[in-house]
Amino acid sequence: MFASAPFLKVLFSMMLIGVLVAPVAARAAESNRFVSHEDTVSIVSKSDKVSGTMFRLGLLFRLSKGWHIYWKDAGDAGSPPQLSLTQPAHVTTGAFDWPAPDWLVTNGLGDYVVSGTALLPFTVFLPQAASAGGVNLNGLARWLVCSSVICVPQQARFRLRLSEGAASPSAEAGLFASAHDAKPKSSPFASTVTANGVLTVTGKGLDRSDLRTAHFFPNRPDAIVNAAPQRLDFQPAGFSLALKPLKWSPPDPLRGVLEITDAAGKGEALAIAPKLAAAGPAVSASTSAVVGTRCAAGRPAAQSDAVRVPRARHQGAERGAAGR
Amino acid sequence: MDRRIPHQSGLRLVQRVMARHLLAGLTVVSLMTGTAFAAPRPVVVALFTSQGCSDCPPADALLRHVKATDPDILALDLHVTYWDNSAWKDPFSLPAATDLQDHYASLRGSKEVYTPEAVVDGKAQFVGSDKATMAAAISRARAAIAGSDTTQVSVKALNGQVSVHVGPGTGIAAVWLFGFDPERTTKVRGGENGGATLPEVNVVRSITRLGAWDGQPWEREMRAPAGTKYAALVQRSDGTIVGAAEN
Repeated sequence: MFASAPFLKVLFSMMLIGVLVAPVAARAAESNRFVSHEDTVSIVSKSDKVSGTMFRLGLLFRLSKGWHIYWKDAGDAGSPPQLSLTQPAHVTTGAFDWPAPDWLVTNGLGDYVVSGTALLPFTVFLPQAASAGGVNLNGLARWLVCSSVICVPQQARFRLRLSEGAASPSAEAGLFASAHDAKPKSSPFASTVTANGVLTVTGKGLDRSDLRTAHFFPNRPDAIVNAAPQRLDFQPAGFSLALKPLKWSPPDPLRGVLEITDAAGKGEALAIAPKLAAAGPAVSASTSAVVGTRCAAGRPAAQSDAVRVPRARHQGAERGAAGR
Repeated sequence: MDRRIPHQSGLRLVQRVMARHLLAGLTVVSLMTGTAFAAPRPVVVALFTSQGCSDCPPADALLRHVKATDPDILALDLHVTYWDNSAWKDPFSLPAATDLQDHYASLRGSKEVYTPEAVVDGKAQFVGSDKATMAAAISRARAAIAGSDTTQVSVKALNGQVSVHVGPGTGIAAVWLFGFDPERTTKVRGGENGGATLPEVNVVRSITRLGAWDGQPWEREMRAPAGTKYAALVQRSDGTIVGAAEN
């Protein structure tokens, strides 16, 4: 009938922890939520209070299974989300930070999309330091959310009030940390691209035993044929990706994001800007080629002619932390 | 009286049987001669789409198929504007197309729109790439047309002018003029010089509300708006189409 002593000890410890933790638990800093069948969207703050003229917010998408939004370069179709803060007066914002996208080929079109839970952080600049009354933010966001069958335009007005004071991490701060981890890093590798679309990346740790997949996401939709597979060839000092150029030469430099996955399945997103170089030597017959390995999984059942490339590397970091 | 009712019913039965045989005979003749008896009016199939929508090409293909295989379809490929942004614009997008889709959404008590969306004869609304629903909706619309009064509509284009004539009927409705291009093949956004192409039919280039029709014979002539062909619709505010024609 009576609880055992060890059980009571554990129970007491848990209660004590609860009492100790409760007063210091981070406070939520989230706007009203837009809720639909397709997604739940809101604006969240990295800190629970603001001081000075600059702070970080994020547009948070919790997309239902099978739905996606579009990356900053949407590819052949789609459009990235847009946010305009209208209050306080003269407020301005920086650009979104983006994770590397997924590559979605459907109906002959190549798109760059984001799915799951995705935070798009951005910096807010106030015209003057936040007053003692705090900051009342008001903004309008527009975005397109698509499945494999239909696309829905959505928009919502978000309101978020933040108190003035010494900032401490909000309950949503972990999302910002995950988004920072998912943001493409400056590449330590050398890269060039030829006029016929051969992207060469060289450096340590890029040989066949280290690398499993690679894919390049251009920053602009007219840089390459977005629906074309990218053939991966290993070379002594690194690897090359055979991009399919348009009839004109690629932009110089060809800015974008290179996503590589190692043998263990761990991925990394790198911001690269390969300069145009003269066509290199033909790929030797001894090098191994991989085509479409990034297209092997994740085909939606209702999308027989579509290939979705999972961005497995980022799922753990970004989606795991954000999965609430 | 009691004895005459069966007599009358028998006569009607004979008339119906004769009419069926006559209709069947005419159908056979029409098939043999290659001529077709015109339906009272075409079934209007509107597709709301965009070149910026990756889910839309199958719907565009279905509209193309429907138009190619059914001569009594009036297809309208309407490009909405909500896919446009500061960096890219669908060259065929029309604010009036977006407004029209918003109106159809309001008829089903919603503010939510999507692409691709098909609207058959102003009533049935569904995903524009859904072949089975499209076929069923067209069949239902055709049956409804056969069972209702149709107002005669004609549209003519000559020397840069378009004239629309609407015959007598009942009730009130709006008269709409759609200018369209029967065939357009365009390059997708990233492929103006080497990427994918999108072939589309009856791409609407202009939408003009010509005025109100109150059941009296009605005629209007105007300078031809954008488009190489024209379609006129007489449509009530609840979506019901009472007359339609193309030149």
